[in-house]
Amino acid sequence: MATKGNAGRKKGSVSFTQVSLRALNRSLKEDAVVTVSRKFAEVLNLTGNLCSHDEQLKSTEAEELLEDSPPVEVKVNENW
Amino acid sequence: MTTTTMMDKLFPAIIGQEAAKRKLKFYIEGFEATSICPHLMFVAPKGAGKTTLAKAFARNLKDRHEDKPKRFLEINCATIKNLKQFMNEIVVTHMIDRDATILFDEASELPKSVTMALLTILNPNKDNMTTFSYEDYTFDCDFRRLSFLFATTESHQIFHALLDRMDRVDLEEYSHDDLAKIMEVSVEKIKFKSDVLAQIAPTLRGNARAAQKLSQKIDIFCGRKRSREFGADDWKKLKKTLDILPLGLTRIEMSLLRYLSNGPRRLTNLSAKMGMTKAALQRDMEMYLQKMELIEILPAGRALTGIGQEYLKDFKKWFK
Repeated sequence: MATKGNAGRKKGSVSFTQVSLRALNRSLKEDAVVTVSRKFAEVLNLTGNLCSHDEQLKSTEAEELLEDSPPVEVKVNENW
Repeated sequence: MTTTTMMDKLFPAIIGQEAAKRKLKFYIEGFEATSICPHLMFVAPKGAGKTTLAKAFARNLKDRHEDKPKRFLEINCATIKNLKQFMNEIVVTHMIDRDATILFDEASELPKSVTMALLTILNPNKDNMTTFSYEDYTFDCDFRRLSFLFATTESHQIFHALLDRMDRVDLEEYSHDDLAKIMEVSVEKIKFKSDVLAQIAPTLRGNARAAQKLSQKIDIFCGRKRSREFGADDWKKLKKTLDILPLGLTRIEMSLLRYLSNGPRRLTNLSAKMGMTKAALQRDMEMYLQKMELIEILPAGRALTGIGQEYLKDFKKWFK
């Protein structure tokens, strides 16, 4: 049976890398928010805000866009 | 005080637009009594004076504590990229705990996220107050302190629910008399002789901004010849120099008319001949030519009307 060309996960979307918690702590502040898999959080009885991979990407893109975008053009007349 | 004098006082230097001015006068009187102005959407073609009229209106919305107009913010909506930017640069900086009149110019360019936020912020209610929360901020919007004006040429592109929260102020087309007055007001130091303004007005395409722009050119023209008068001979010279055609047509529109003088043509054929896309022809050329009844669309294609044929015949005498 022929398969759809765009079906399935993208290449690399289920790739992981192993790092020590110490290495991670060196890079991140104590209250930094990190994304972990929902299943992993459930096993450790951790709760957090549920977010999809897409949403996370979109919010990062929006942040980057905001930093790069020029300021809003506003003319202010105080005494007129 | 007579109605005309009152209108002149409320909207000095605003020519024409009597129906819109009557409506706005009603809102000003309402604001004076209640400190509340409905959210207004100014709709008109480009160059018709939406922003100018909105500003003139805003001057009448006085500060509660001082006898002067409220602070006035003019925002170019095309430069707002997202809700976060809107909240940080507009709401937090200019609106929280402040009195102001805010004009959202080019309102059709508002991003969807900001439009959705405005649905909450502008929702009319009996308390005349709304609350909008975003991340760490809670923005209490008091309609006694903040007045909202919007301006657009593309009202159909505004989200219907947002449009529903506003009162529309539609501007009408300027008559030739209005355009002549706009020109006179724009260059007060120049005296227009005899009926020269009546000759100029039809070339302005009903557009107030075009009248102002041409006034500036007349000012330059008179400055160069060290005169404060502008007559029929001056107009003859200026229209030749600036290549101003009857009814304010462009040279491309003129080419289109000449091409149609050979008989009806299909849009595809016209597009190929003129080297323009069909959409550009329809949007930029045909609308005005049809409005002036110079061309018509027949089953056989685009065709010159009787008025169009007369136009081409009379054109030979235009620069003489």
